[in-house]
Formats: sequence, structure tokens, C-alpha cells
Amino acid sequence: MIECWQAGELRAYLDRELPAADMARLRAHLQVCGACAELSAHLEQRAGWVASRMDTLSAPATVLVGARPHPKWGVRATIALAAALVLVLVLLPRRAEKPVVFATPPRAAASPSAPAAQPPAAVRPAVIRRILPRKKPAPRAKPQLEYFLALDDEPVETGMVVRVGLDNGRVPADLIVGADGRAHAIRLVSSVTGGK
Amino acid sequence: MQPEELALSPVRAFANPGWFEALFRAHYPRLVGLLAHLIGDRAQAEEIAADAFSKLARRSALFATRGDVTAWVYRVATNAGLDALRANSRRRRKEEAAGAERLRTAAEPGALEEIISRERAARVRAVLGSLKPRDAQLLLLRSGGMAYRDIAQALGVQASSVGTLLARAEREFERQYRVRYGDDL
Repeated sequence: MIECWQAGELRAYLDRELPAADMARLRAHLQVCGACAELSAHLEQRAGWVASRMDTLSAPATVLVGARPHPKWGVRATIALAAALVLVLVLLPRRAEKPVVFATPPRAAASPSAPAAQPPAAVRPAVIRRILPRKKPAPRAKPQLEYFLALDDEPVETGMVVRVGLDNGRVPADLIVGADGRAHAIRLVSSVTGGK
Repeated sequence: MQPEELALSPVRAFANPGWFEALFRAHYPRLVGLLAHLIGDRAQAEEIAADAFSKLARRSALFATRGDVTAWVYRVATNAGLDALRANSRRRRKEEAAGAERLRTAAEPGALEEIISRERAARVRAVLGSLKPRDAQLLLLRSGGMAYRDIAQALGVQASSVGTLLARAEREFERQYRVRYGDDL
């Protein structure tokens, strides 16, 4: 007497998900049972039909027109902006190479009769500033400090605030430099008349 | 078995304190890929998968075995994916119509194939969204190459009944698809 198999077992057989002993028994059974062989072929055909449609989901998802902006893009844009800022800071000349000059122009400009052969390198801004007549000092503009802009997502626990000059020293800014030597935050300092 | 019933399982903390990370590493990428196929939006798939793991982290002490946890994550995530699929359907139809129109007018190379590919995927998603959640989950997990044993674990059924359930799900998928779209691919 031939004992036929259930559709679920035939389906599992097609996926090779039956125990090894059952796989062998069912294989042998399909050789002699036309009904089970027919049902197995039908199930196989349907499984292939469904799989071919399910496979269309595997195509890489395309960008949908007008899709809502994903909230993570805000974070990504911030990271990109921070990376750009870091790049600018790295590419800028260092302060030591070109110091910020806060002194007034040399007096040589006010005395045109001075010999033209005098080398301009002899004029040191710091010295000239000292010999200038001390007028009533103009009120120093209070630096207008901005909020720090984080350059990465890591919280700043400890760090040192370092003032630097951007754009060849013309734009002062404060950096928070962490223990690893990397800048973690930046803020621009506007209306500054003197550096510390 | 519903998550609420699983939550009533006997309390037993897992011996390995790193079990959550191990589970996350083992299943998060697969779950995201599976959900991305289902809803066609990888970013949203990542959100749903992460949310499922986040829920798990908050209630993990309530699960009895590691198998329960894995099953629970897959079930919660794929249910959320099916909900998102249904919620997205109207928006997606508008967007895909607009995208198809743009592709037509752009006349770029491969534009026609792109339109057809989108349309095919949209049909499959529509049919999956109309099935019983377990049938859709079953087809999705199997399509992702998951073994019967893992499918059984994820869906809370006996491994020996996966073949029967899968055959029924495929029959229902074919029926629904033919009713809507005939024999078109």
C-alpha cells in the first residue's frame, strides 16, 4: 500500500527542508506515485511563480520623487558642514606663521621726507604701538560671542578654548580643542579689537 | 502567540550579559534588508528595525528563552513593516506616479525598465499588504532565504508545519495577485 504525502511535506521537500530520511523516502515515493508527483510539480510551479514576483522586491530601492525628507539627513548635513569647517581650519595658515597685527600703520607713512631706502622690516608693530601718543583710549568693543557649533557628535567633556584667526587672521574665532588634539567645537568672535 | 503572551513567560535573565549585542549583530542587518524589501525604503526599514530592538531592550527580562526573543523581534518588526506598507500605500502611489511621469518625460536610457521595475515591486507590495500578516511574514522570511527552523522560531509555530503554512501562503498570494493583475509579472 502506497502512503501518500501531505502538501506541506511536499513543499518542504522542494526546499530540502525535510529530515534526510524523509527526503530519501519521499524521493522514492515520487517515482512510483503519479498523484504525489503531479501535486509536487504543481507546488513547485507555484513556488517559482511566487518567488519570481517576490524577487522584484530585491531590486535596489530608487529615490522616490517627492519623498519626505528623512530626519537623519539633518544629522548628516550637520556632519558634512562640520567636516567642511574642519577642512577649512586645517588648510588655513597657522597663527604662528602669520600673526594677527593689531597695531596702527607705521608712522613712516606720515613723514614722506624719510629716506626711502629704509628697510620696512625694521618697523615692528608692537614697538610702534608703545611710542604712539597715548590718547584717550577708545572704548574697546565688547566681543560679541556666538554659540559654539559642535564639529562632531561627541559631547565635549574637557577641552581648552583656543582663539585662532580665520581668513589670514582677519576673522577671530574660538576653538574647543580636546585632549586628543582635535577641535570639537567652534564659534566666531565678531567686533573684537584686541586679542588676548 | 502574541507579544503580550510572550511577555507573560516565566522570568529568566540571560546568563550572557552580552546577549543583546550578539542578537543585534546577528539579526539587525538581515532584518533591515527584509524590511527594506517589504516597504522599499531603507531608511524607514532601519528605523523600524531599530525600534523593534529598542522595545526588546526595554522588556527583555520578560522573555523566557533566546528563541522567544528572536521570534519576538522578527514578529514585531515585520508587523510594523506591514503597517508601514499599508500606511505608505497612498503616498507611495502618488510618488511613484510622479516619478514615472518624470522618467517618461526625461527619456533617459533605462527609464522604461525603471518604470516597469517599480510597477512590479508595487504590485507585490500591494498583494503582500492584503494578505493575512502571518502569510505575508512567511513569504517575506522565506524569500529572504531564512531556513524553516528559523521561520518557525520567528513566527512561533512548529518547524514541521512551516511547509504547510508556506504552501497555503503561496496559494493565497497567487490567488490575490491573479485577481488584481491577472498573469502579468
